[in-house]
Amino acid sequence: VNLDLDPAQRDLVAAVRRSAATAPAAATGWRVFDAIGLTDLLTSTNDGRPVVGLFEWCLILEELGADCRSLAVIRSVRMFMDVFVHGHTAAATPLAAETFLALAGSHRAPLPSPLLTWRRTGADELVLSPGTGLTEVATTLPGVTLEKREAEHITDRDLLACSAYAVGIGRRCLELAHERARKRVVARRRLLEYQGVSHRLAEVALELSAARIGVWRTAWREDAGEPAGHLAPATAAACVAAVLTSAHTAVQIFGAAGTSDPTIVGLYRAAYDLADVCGSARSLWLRASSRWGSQARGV
Amino acid sequence: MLAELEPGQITLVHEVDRILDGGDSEADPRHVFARLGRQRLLAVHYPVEYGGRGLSLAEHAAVAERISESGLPDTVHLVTVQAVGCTILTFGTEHQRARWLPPIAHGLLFASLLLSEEDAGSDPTRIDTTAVPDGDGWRISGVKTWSMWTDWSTIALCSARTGSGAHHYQGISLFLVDLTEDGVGIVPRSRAAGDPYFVVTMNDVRAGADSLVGELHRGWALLPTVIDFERGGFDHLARATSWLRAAERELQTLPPESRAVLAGSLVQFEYAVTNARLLAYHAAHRAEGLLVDEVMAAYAKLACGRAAQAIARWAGEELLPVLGAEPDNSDRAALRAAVLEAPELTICSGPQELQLDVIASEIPIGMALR
Repeated sequence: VNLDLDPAQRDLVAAVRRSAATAPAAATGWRVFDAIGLTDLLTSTNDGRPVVGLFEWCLILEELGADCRSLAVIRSVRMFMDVFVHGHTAAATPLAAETFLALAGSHRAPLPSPLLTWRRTGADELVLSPGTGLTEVATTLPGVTLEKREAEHITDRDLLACSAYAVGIGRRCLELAHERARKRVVARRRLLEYQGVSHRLAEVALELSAARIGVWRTAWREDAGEPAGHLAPATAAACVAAVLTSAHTAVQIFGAAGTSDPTIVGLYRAAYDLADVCGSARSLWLRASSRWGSQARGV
Repeated sequence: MLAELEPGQITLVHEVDRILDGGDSEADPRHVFARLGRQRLLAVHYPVEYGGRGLSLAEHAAVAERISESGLPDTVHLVTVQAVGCTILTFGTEHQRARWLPPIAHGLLFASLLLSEEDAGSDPTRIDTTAVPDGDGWRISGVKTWSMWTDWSTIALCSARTGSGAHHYQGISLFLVDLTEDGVGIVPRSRAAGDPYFVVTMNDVRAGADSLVGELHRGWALLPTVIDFERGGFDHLARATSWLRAAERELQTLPPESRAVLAGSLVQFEYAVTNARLLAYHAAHRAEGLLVDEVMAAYAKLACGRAAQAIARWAGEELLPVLGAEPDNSDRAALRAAVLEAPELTICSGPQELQLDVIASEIPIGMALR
């Protein structure tokens, strides 16, 4: 049992960080990733498994969250890969893979969004359709409707990816709050020297580390062919709670400045946007509990 | 990453299981420890010449976790093998290693830590116990407390003041005290959770020339490492796991409507315990020899302790009142004991305030986990 990244994973994280550091401020998460030049890897497989598995996607998304890059396009790309390329559903076709490669290779301008739209039906099916971002090159891509079980699997994987992004936002909040506490002097002592401040930061670090471990272990099991089941909403619940705690802590440590500083305010909003995407921690725990009960009964 | 035990760890766990399954369940736990020791399973991370197997700390962790889960008194195993044994292994002389480690590894000798003194809180520098030179050895006098399973112990690692200095960190030395010597008094002190603490009074107790561990007057430099040896979190993890399993079994005895209300919390506990377990194993995996990174150990200890505390609190607040007093069984008794023991998990082996200080010294989280 260990949480070590392998060398390729560490290189991937470092590459995303480097790309984020040099990308224009307005560049989306997808542009940051695409600039690394590893886009072809997304369609590669090794022994029938994607080279970039969900675990690697989570590493990428944590870094993009930590740099507060837009999630929308890359989230679509990731789901597109799941549905149409890597065979997590019956909709996978070689044609779709070629379509994606054409799409990925053809864009030079910022990629229009969305690539993919999706909505749930009353029967818990998932209806996916090509978005406006695909119209130029993807006329052959069919819209698909995934039945309940497939839909659940696809949306669980999406939930885990969004959870990783949430950990990234939380990490950024913690880093900025820690930096502020390290430099800010109040009553001739650095803020960090006050136990009330340092322990609050340590609590956030602990909560975020648990959230990240939840993401990693669930994604690792997914890649090993073990569907996340109740762990997907459980992980998202822990991540939503952690990112909100981190965001509130960052504002608190910055004091009044935290309510006006564009970066802190942006992170605070991003944290709540993530809660909106994933659902509230309470609702997610309820979903996890309900699924856990169903699994226990073999439903 | 790897979210499951490695084959070597699984093999060790199976070996432990065979020995635990093969014995008389009514036997004195010390006999079980001796059986495990005969198979070199109590300290697999010790070198072969000292009764171990020369394996890694992570492999020892898998064994320790299984021993704890079995219900054996893991605190005595932890203190003997990790806190005292690893201190001897790391800082002791060759003579000390050869004399003490084989019986420890074979489960024939138990040891205690005598560091804390009354009213000193968590400050191990507040030491009134003294060691004065006596011929080629020492005479030790003082009172130590908050020690457990000391009535089983033959030796203890004891801190004592051997000199004064400009700072209270200076002049502290560590000794291996033979608890069978004249002048040693061991008196139990009640403890809410059951097995007692012991107050150990030493009155002019003779300690030989080979009892000093590390350099004279420089014991303070060793103390953080001594304490870190017992800070892996696995003792707390074992409590979290066993309390969770007891709660799950008891939950199954409830009517469906009560079960549905309470089950949601179990999902959260299961989730937290699994994450804490990964942290604890990761800390052991990344150890350099016997030394676990203190920041990772702090994460692991807090995560494991708090997961266990959350389960105990929930059991006391929500589950046990619903279950009622009758009929009693071992699971309910265990959960009632858990309620009493839970507060200790963020007090013993360094209180949570110290762990938070350590974590705050190395933020962001990426540094600790990669």
